[in-house]
Amino acid sequence: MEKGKAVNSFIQSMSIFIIVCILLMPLYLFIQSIPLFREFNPVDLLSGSWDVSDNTYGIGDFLVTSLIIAFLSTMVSLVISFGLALYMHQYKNTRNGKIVYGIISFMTGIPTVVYGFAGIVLLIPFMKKYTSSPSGLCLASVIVILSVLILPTITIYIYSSFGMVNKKNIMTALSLGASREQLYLHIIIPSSLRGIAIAAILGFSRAISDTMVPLMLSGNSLQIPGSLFSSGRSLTAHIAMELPGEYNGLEFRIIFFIGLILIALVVFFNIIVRFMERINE
Amino acid sequence: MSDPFLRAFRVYIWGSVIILLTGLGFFVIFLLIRSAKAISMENLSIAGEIFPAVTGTLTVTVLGLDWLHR
Repeated sequence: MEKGKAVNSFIQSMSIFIIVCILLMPLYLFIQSIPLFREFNPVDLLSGSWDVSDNTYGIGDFLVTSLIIAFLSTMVSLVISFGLALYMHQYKNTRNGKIVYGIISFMTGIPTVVYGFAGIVLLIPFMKKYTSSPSGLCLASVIVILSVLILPTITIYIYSSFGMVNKKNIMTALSLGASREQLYLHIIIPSSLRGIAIAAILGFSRAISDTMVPLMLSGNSLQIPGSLFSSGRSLTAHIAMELPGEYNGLEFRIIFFIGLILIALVVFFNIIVRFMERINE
Repeated sequence: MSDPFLRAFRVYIWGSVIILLTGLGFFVIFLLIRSAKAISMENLSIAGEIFPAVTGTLTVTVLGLDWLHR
């Protein structure tokens, strides 16, 4: 009994510790950004361009690049993930279905640097040869690799949302003589639309917060990319690139502000997901 | 619902799986071909030296966890 109490209090104290840490993180980022806010208006920082020689430290270009990359990679990934989730659900009790599920589960554990490496050795030479990008380092490369990176997240969520469809509806459709395709098109997919939307949002927040792939494949130029075959820099890649800078300099302080923006974005998307899940209930 | 539509739906599902497997397969084969070039007697002897250390560490960890669990 005493042992149980000790375990309970340990779990509670750990939970409180984690909650406090999570709350302190944005607070710390905000405090560290204060010197920046004394010099610049936060709206100007969010909308402006980055030009150190002109004393402008706007992250607007990076924000736009991040949003473009995350949105397009989510769209690409959603198309393939949806098909994969359908396959896994259709053949969930067969060997092939289990193999595909195993591969998708395995992909969740692959480090992002491996995806970046795969992009560099496989995709970049192809992009260099067949597109207008001179170095191959462009947004299209990032989008292709990021869509593979977020594919397991989206697939597994859609697959689990298919599993939550009311069994009675499925049995009714089958007893009326519906084919397997008709069952999916008329019963399972319409009932899982919210789950699919939540999966897309989760994939989007995973894509916008990834660092390694944009850092390795985007080319990191300081501009809003003119096309998919132009170079650009994401918010996360900018943090990684500015880290070796002078600690007290304004260029370094902007890292904390970017961290704050990224946390705000992820919290915003999480709130939408929770809200949608509540509607689903 | 028209038959071609259902057929297209089926093709789409199988197409997604084929894209995934082709992409992964291509990457694994590429890595194997590149890695095969790096295999030499010198590298193998280094691997042979590391192997007992890795297995030893694993054994100690498993035995330690087993002892803690008792």
